[in-house]
Amino acid sequence: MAREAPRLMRWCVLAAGGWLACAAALAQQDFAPSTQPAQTSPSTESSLQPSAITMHYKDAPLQGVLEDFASQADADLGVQRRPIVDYAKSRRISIDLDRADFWTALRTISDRAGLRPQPYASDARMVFQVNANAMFGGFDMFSDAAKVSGGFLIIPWMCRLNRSVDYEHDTDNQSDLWLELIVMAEPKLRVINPSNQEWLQQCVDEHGQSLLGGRRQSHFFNNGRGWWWTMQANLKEVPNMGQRIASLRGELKFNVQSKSETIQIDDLSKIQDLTKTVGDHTIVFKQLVNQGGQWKLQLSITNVNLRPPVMRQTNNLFSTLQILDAQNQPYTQVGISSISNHGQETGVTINFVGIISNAPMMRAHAVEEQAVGPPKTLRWEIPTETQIVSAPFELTDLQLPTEP
Amino acid sequence: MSRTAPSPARITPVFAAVVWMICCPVMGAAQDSPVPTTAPATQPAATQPTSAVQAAVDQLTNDDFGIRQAAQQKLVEMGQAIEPQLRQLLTRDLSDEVRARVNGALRQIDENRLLGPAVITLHYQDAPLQQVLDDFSQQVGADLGVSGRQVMQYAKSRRATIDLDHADFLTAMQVLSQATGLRPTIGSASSMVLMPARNNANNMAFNIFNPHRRTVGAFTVYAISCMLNRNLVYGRGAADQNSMILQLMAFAEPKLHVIGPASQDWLKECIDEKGQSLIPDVHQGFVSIEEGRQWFWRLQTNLLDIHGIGKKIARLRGELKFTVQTKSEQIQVADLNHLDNLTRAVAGNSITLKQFTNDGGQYQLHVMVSGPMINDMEQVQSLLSTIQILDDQDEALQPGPMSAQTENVGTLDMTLNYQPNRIVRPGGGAGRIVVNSALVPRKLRWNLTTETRAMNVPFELDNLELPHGP
Repeated sequence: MAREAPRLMRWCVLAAGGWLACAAALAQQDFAPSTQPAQTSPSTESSLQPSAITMHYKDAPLQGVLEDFASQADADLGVQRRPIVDYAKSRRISIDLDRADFWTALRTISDRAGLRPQPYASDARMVFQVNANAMFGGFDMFSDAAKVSGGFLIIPWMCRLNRSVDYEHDTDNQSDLWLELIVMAEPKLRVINPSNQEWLQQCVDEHGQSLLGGRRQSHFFNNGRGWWWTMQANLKEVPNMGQRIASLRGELKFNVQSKSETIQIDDLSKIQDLTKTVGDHTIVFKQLVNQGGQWKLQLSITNVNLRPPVMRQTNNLFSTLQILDAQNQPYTQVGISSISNHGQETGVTINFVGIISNAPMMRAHAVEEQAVGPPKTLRWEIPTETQIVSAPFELTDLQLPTEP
Repeated sequence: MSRTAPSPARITPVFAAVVWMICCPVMGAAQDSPVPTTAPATQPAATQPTSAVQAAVDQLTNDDFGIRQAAQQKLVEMGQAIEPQLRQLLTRDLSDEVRARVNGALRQIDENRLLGPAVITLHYQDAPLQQVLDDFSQQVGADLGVSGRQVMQYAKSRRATIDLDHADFLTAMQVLSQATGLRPTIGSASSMVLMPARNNANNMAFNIFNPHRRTVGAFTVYAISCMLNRNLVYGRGAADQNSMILQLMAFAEPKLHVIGPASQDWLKECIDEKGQSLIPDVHQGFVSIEEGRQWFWRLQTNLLDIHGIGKKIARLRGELKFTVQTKSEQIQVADLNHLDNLTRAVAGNSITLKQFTNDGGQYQLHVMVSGPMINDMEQVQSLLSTIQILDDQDEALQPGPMSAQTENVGTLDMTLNYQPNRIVRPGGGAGRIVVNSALVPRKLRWNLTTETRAMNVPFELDNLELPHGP
């Protein structure tokens, strides 16, 4: 993992985006008395800036170091979880970091503490894990070839070369070459979605030959809200192709939350018919019921466009809606089971199960599952303003698949 | 994606004939399967040798042993159409060797009638299409659906002109398809049928006219594709993953009733033009096995992706082993309600279809087997797997698992389960869809194999382009 050269270090906050731009600030007066007022997070440039971690510890208790790191990174990183507290109890650590980026600090602390970052709670966030596989979901997030750009880490994952001959249809020898990468956002960034599919700008081998193909050159998988994404660069095999990619340049753009409001309902037994107004949208919480072990939260929301691609944004809107038990442990959201339109009003049922599941897309490590207690609290962070954040990067000296 | 001009593979006729390994009457005597007639309907059965036959016969006296052998083989390849001529020849004064070779050719033609390649002769000028189809089907030795309603409707007002002399099955099928607009496809009973082209576009699991093929007897092996994957994973502790997969297809002429799967260990040699072996230490040959009667098989093998690998597979040798039914008995039970201990003797074994029951919607056929076969569960299951339970419209119920129980020494009680669902094969023989239905079982049909023969099919493909860069 290396920091970008100064040219690529710039951390661009571009034009303000429009996430729920149509939605005005949440109107607290519509809350029933049993709810706390929505908390508005101020729009600050610092919420979009990458972390700069400074730590000078010599033989210090590990738990304190972890908590300091989480605090400086403005992320919880699961450091208060019971397995981590138990693990850290009798351990001490020495750390010396000066204005390190989040990823360098994460790697240093992970290596020294014997912990590994892993996805948690159905891939909703990153936490430290004990005895976890060094390979995060099948790739090495601390690979030396990875590059940091602002709050993002760009990791080359794999390069595939497929050649085929189709005797049956007598077609020509065909060749496909593509590079798969991972991009991760540091936890403090609330990324709504990647905003540009065409992120690849240049790819040359050591002979200076361009490996850019003629077709669509790049795209994101898992397009929606998250904190890590798979990207693909479609390249082309050229005559006398070199042994390595000398330079691959790209620029990623993300739609990042810059202002939000949080609805918190502390007593879910009193949720019935609670109303919340968001600009010209009205949210009515109908009920939370248990059906066959699955909790179903029914609500209605007005003036929401559920047609693609807005639909995806709508799903993103609900992805931050959390049901928590008395210990603040989150239920796992397992999808939206029904959406019905009645004029301007849209009925939505969001399903939850009372299990914390550490099960990312690629199950390359142990799955941690634990049951949670009865549902007690609802927390819903709703972005009310977004900005486009740009992460230019350059990867160098990546080996290409070659003959054995 | 890059493209280069392909160089077509050549098929070298190294192995000229199927090797009949074992004649294996595994089952007891029963009535023979119907023997197809292959005499063309368009020509009278000539008894006087034609010039081609006479030329081959003349070569049977050649001083060169190789020429005499080749002449005998040529007579065999002319097929059943020349049988009367050869028999007439035997009435003449012939040398011992010529007589022996003519008799040998006749024996081989007779053998080929059942298990060998079809030899098709059709000479029609503006003839009714149905007549051409009936003749073709007869010479092929298989129904091909030509008496089905759809084909008969199509053929009713059409005529065809076709001119074929001693053509092999695939050549004849291709010529016939072009001349008639009928295409080979996979019928509902997993057999090859002819259908009007408009009804069955792309319904074959593969292109049987693919020129990259090698025909050996009644079997043909096709080169389908070769795929090379090189994956390079970055980071610590990650490994490269390279693989090369060659896919072939084997095909049996429709008249063959292959009941045993081909062996997985079919690859014998694979070298590039530099003489380097591409067979890995851990060779993972594969032959697809599907439900029901199978007449094509997907073959797959992994190959080595080695340093300095050539541009072509210079030679690939393989050998497929099949078990082919040579005799069978058709058993029909018109009303399952009256099934009551129907017993058949099969090669020293006794098989009794005891009764058919309905246990809460689960249909079961109870069978008792006794004899040495009970020690070979695979053989028992293979034998019983051809039992079909049908509704009034001859629609087959979905077969479920079989269970076995031994209550008495020397006997095996088998329970065959059936669901009232319909099986649909949208893409032909490969892959199936179970459609929830409420078929009512009425009849039983059983093609009971009573004699089989093991067949080895050695084949060789050469000059197959390997995947390479631009």
